Amino acid sequence: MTLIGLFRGAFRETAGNVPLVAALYGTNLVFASVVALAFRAFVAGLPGAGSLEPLLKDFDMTLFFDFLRTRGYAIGALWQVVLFMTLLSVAVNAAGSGGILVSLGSGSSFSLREFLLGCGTYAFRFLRLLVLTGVMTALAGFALIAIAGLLLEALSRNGTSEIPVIEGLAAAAVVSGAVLMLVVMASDYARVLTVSTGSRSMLRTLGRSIAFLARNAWGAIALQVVMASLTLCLFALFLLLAEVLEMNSSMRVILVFIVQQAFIWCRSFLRVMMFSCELAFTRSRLPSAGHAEIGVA
Amino acid sequence: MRTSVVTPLLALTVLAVGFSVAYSGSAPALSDRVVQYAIDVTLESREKTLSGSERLTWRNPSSGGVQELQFHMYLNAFKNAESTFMRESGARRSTAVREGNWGWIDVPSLRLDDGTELRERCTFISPDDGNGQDQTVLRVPLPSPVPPGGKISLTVKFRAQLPRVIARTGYYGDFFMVGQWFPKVGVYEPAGVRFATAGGWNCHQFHAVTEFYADFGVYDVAMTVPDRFIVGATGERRGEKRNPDSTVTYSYHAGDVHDFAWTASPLYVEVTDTWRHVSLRALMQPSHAGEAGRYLRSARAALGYLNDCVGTYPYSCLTIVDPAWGAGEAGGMEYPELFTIEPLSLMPEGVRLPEIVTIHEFTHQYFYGMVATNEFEEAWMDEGFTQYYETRIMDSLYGAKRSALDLFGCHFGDLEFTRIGFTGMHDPGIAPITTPGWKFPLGSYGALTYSKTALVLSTLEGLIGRPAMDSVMKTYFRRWKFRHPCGKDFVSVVNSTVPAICGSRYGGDMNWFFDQVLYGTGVCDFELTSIAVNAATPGRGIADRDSGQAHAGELKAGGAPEMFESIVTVGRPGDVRLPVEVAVWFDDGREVREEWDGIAKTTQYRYSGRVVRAAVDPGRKIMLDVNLTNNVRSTRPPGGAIWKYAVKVLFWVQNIFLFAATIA
Repeated sequence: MTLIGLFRGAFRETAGNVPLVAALYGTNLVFASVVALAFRAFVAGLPGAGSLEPLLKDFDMTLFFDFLRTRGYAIGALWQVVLFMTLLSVAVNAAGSGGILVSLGSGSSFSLREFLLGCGTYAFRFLRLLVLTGVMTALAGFALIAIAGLLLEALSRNGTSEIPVIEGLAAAAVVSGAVLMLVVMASDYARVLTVSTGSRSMLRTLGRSIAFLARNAWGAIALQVVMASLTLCLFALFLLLAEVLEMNSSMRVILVFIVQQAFIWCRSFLRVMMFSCELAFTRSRLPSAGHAEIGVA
Repeated sequence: MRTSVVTPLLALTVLAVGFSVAYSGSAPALSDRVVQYAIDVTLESREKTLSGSERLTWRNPSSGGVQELQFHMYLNAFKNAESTFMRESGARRSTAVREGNWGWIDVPSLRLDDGTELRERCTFISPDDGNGQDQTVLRVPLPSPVPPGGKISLTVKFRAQLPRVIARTGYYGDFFMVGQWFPKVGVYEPAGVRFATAGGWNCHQFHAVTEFYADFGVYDVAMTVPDRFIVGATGERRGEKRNPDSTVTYSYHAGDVHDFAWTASPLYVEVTDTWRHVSLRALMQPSHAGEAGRYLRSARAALGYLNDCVGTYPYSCLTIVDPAWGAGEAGGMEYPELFTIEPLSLMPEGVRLPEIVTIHEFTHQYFYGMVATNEFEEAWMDEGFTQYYETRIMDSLYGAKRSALDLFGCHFGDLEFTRIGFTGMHDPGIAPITTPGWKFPLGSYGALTYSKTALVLSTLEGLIGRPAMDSVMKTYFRRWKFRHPCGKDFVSVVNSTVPAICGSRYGGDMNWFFDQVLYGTGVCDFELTSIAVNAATPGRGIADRDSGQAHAGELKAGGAPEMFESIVTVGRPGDVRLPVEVAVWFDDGREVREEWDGIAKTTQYRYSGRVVRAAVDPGRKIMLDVNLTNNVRSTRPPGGAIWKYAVKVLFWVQNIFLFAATIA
């Protein structure tokens, strides 16, 4: 299967499974709304909140710093909400990806029962995978930091220009990005393989995923780069729009809100499309990969 | 008749001055010129050493005889961990100095013109802290006193080891920033000058913060360096001589300055420019050469602004030095007619640090360079005045809200940034800004001398208005340039200028202001305490109002308009008492402005009508106010602003959660 054919198929499949996009978008909207409303309630409840009105016209750094300095004590509570909701969102998304993959893998039209069953079946496996991925990222991070530190020390010792150091930092950033991308890819394909084979050992599946990526590196990376580029283009488009649409009136706030949500919807769409691509790519390169029966595997 | 007498006299005077200038080869004196230095120095670039000879002529400016001389030997601050500079800097600094990177200066010989050798008589003294290990002040007893107005000349031989760059001086590879490098005579203050009640030496040790106080004079300095080096220095280059040993000797002349610094590096890229009579020269690192324009533009802008608002820059040269990367400690430092910038690269246009540093260091040419205050004892007059003008110039160039940072939608101004330095202090009232530099409680020096002083001047400007402030500063500069004023001299200028412009609005003098903000430690904070809106009980019948008869109110029943009484309460939680403006807005669009003298702890204003919003100091004239979040109150909820930020929070949290979904 060609890459273009893969994308075309994935786009059609995602477009035909709008409830999956809606599920991903909706879950994140709900969790993020809790944080945003907590923020709003927190700010509105502070004494002297009336002084914030000028911020609607233009950001006022002086007022903002005074606000942080004099009311900062209350921000701790808000951070707790953010932390809790982030953890909850990670857990729910881990479970949700099982439902998305099962729905996409079945080849039939969307069924809520199937989706929920997929969520429940793979929730704990994917949470274990998340922990493993975290450990892998931490190990890779430590190694990268150590190497980058040695490199920068060597470049900066008695150097007379910062240019080699800046180049070194840029190279370190590129390498770190690439490593993070590989970790994310390994994690994604491990989920696809889990759903395809019904595997219960996440460590073994992660190993199989890495081996699969090593054998099909170019195709997998091309897929990842194209999808990441699409997301970046989308983000650039959003930034351009946001630059034009300053939030200096209530109508503008509503307009920007709509643009923001359209952007998030598109991101959710791309995420589901990515799963679809990965599923098709795995099946095309690994004919043994099928669709495990839920509850049997 | 009158013309016929004056004209020949004038012609004679012009001729005499012209002859004098031509004969001496230098411009007419702008200062008292207490000292005259002729220095020959050689840089050994491999050993990082200086060896030289200095001929110093010093004039006794007092009306009494002077029995001794005192010299700054400031390179000895970097001699070991026991110097006052190192002790004050903390162990982190001294332990960071590796073996072989220390610096020192030694004087093998001090000889009078009659051949008398004074070296054996010399002792190191420590007038500030009694630290017997400190060798930064050398006392030289003389065989006979220098009579009032008399001169003494001596030849001083010196050797110096430059430290690896520390505290704005030293070497880094082949880059040399040579400051505080020669035996420099201290200031003999005659009775009546500054705080002196009797004549005496004012020669401080080298401290962790503050390092300048010297007399004006003339410097003729010849620097011999390897011929591959490019040199920049205080003053004008007068000569360049190639030597047979692959060295070159550059001769510089500077008049009416109180210090001399120079720099050398084979890597410099020279970029030049001019502003009216001033030749600008930027010595850039090769990787920064393309950014020279930012620094030169900023220097030109500062020259123009200060020329208009303070006074003329009288020198013909200005050198901007870009230190080598790795020599960051040499960055951001002022010397006469020369200053260093921060070694920054690839700085986006919206991050205005290059402009801020350039304008700040150039402004020191006025407040330090020409108005030569004692930085050790009154750093606020040096750094604080400079900071004040830095914020004014930056704000005028880039706008008050974007002059420090304007990047990716995030922006703030230089004065705003300066204010945060002070208001962010754990205890803004920890010490008065008039504290001597080395006596500030740990960590408070910068916030109080730079930031608080700039806010004090900004608040003064807010009270009296910019035209009056400009008049104050012009008068201060005109009266005290090329002299050594103290804080009371500045206050005296304010006290004579402000009543002349503002009348009796602020009383006979401004001491009430300076006593609180300069010499006191009180914190300034005003607040809009509350707005109370009550439905007024409608009156009945006819009542006297507005010097006539009018209906006091309509009966509420029957659809008559509802009446309200509003009470606006303004408070002063802070200690500092200043007059302040109060603005009150009503639901019918009316706006009322009140003037509160700020003396009582609280005051109330009553209005008939429905107040919707009120603000104390709405124009933000009182920049010393440490908390602006309590300056405004509204009777309506701040819906729009909060929703704006809630929407932003929602969006970014959604993005974070989606990213988490990708890796989860």
